[in-house]
Amino acid sequence: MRCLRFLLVLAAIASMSVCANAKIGTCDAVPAATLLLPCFEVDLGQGFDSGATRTTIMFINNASTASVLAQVSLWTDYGVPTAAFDVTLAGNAVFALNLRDVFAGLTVAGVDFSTRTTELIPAHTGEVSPTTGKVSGFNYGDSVARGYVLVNAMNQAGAGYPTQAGYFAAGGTGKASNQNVLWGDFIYLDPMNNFSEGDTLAHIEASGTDPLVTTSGNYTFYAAFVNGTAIDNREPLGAAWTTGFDIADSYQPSRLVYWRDSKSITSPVNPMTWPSWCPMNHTKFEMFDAAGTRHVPPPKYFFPLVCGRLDLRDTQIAVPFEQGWLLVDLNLATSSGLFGTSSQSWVSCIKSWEGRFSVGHGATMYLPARAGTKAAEPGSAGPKK
Amino acid sequence: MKMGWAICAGTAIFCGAFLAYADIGTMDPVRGATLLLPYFEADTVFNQAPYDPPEGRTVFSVTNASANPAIAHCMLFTDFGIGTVCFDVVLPRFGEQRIDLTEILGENSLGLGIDTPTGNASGSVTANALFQDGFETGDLSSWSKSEARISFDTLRAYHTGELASRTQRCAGFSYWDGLARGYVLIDAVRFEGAGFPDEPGYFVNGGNGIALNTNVLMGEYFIENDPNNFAFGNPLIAIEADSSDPRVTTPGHYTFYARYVGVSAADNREPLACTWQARNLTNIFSGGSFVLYWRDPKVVSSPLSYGALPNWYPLNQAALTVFDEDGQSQSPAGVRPFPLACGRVRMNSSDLPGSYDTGWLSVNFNNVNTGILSTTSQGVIAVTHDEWGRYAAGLYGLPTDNASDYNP
Repeated sequence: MRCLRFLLVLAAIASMSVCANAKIGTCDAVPAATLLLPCFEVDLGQGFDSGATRTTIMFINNASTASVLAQVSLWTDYGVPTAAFDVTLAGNAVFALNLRDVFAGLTVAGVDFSTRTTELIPAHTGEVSPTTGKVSGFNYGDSVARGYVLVNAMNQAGAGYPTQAGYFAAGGTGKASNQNVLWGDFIYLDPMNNFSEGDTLAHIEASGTDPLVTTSGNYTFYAAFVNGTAIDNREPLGAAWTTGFDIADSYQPSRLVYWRDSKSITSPVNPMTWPSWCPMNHTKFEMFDAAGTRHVPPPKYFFPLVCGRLDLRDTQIAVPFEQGWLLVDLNLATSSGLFGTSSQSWVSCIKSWEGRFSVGHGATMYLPARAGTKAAEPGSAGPKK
Repeated sequence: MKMGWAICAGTAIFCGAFLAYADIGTMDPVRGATLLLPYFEADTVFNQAPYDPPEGRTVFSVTNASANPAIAHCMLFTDFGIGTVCFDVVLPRFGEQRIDLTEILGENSLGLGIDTPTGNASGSVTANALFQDGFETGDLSSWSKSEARISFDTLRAYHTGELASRTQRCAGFSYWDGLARGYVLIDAVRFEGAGFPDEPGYFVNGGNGIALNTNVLMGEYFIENDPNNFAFGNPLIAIEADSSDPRVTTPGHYTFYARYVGVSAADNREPLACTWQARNLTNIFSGGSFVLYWRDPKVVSSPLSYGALPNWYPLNQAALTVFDEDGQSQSPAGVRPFPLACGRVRMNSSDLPGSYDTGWLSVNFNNVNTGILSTTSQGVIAVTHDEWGRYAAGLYGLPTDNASDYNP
């Protein structure tokens, strides 16, 4: 018994040493139990030439010295899961995933995708499924596969999707574990246009003890899948974000990349229809020039899906200045689903200019996703120390 | 009374809800009282031929996220950690300013004096010419402490590592390539005209000095290499201040400006991480992967005589391990890849050896012993992956601790 206690203490110390500075509820990039690639794009119209196809590459690391089981799941921009596979990461090992390989039907992590592309490609391009006659994503009509990726630290292989019962159990005792051992980053690669941007994945920490993510009724990352019980024990993301922008370059203006929480479990829908939560509205979207002059775009659905990109040169935004910074509060304008208007999200910005350069990075979090918090006037009622 | 408790509890919950997401000691991208641009490059010898674009251009923006005007005190430092010039950006409410360091260090947009053949500086030091392309609302003023008025020639020499003819001093490492290097610190301050952080009264506990504890600043930067079509960007590192958190108010604790305040914690600013991880994609990107770093020498340095190096040079590290994708590792011995206060080093080079084409590295900076804070040493790592002539992708590394974790 003493030996067992000693081992437990050692294990606790070891787990703390992985990330002593990590804090539940902050958007810090530290080893985590869940990773989110907020939005990916693979241009299927360019074929699958390794040197030409616009694609997204993500890297997943095991921060611990022990072997770790991770599950990678793909989701459409309607939030419909389409594929999941397990990756066993040896201690300190890396798994690199080029999303192009999935849609090219290659074998990824031992999974043969050659027979699955007939379902995956229409699901992620918004086309009608040849087998179900349903639609799983928005159709832009451009043959670009879109979606997002979730990676979870797991106790058990072949677990299905996080939407399924038993996937999470309090304290990390379900199929998913609470081990904060995963970290990673990603790169958007557009070889034809000589663009690439990189950023860290969203790192979502788990805790079996922090009341913020163990108290039923609190907003957790997978709240919609666990009916607000907080048994996923995962911290939520932010809700309001700020970033600089530049639309001076008429060829490649700044674009926002976003991920949102539909707060629903979504299934494929009939053609020409949309999920019940779609389009999602927002609380605030405003822009400032260098002098602090505010521009508020008209109330439109600029961020309607679970993930996507917004071209800031969009005529409906009608921003009257070429550069500045923006505040976007993706809490819902009207109460919907769990937690009323509160809604977690992730935002990053890609800036390109002269048709040659591009940079991408995450936005600065302005407010966390928490029931009852909305972005007030910037600075006047924002968080204060 | 019950009502009073309810109000108190409500207030606590309200504050707690806000405080929880922006925590001292975590490197979270939120607004700060100080911003750090960890490393810049600025070409000082471009436009000397018909097509001679800058091989290094760094532009940063600073934004005031508050509804009140703010003064952002910008300070340039060399890779020896020596402060060279300060200037203030007066930001209106919600205002933003973009600053091109190539214009400052390559084109003298601060309007600093030029050395004359007799060795004296001439010209106006008051600058409002930085933003000749339209911005008129902001106010900019410059001031230097390292000399009465630093000349443009001296400033450029200090950042390129060359000998400044007027002072006969050096202030940075010389690569002999015409690139000015260094880092930038930006503090929220009470009034214009402040000096560097070691100035008496600059920091007073509780934000009662020249520097304020208001976490209202945020910003971004990008570094561009025009001939190679490289560009990458990141948010500036936001360093939060807190007047009440014991981690940054207790004397003896590691705070961001500890070396400037005698480890009194009077700056109230959170320190950065000591251990970092970063990706290596050498075999995927033809130009290779580079680590860009910023470190704390834990000493306030001054310009040196020609050929001399700071007594802390080269900075050491406590651990350095490179991994391949399968988790196999190597620990390069006898190297100090991060010897300066800031710099850039190529992965899989003689400076940072490793035989794995892809993988990642882990470095722990905690091997700086200058008599304060034991060997703990904060730093920052970013990485850029370059495809020759085409594109680059840059991002920060991943911190796995915080200097405040090592407080006594």
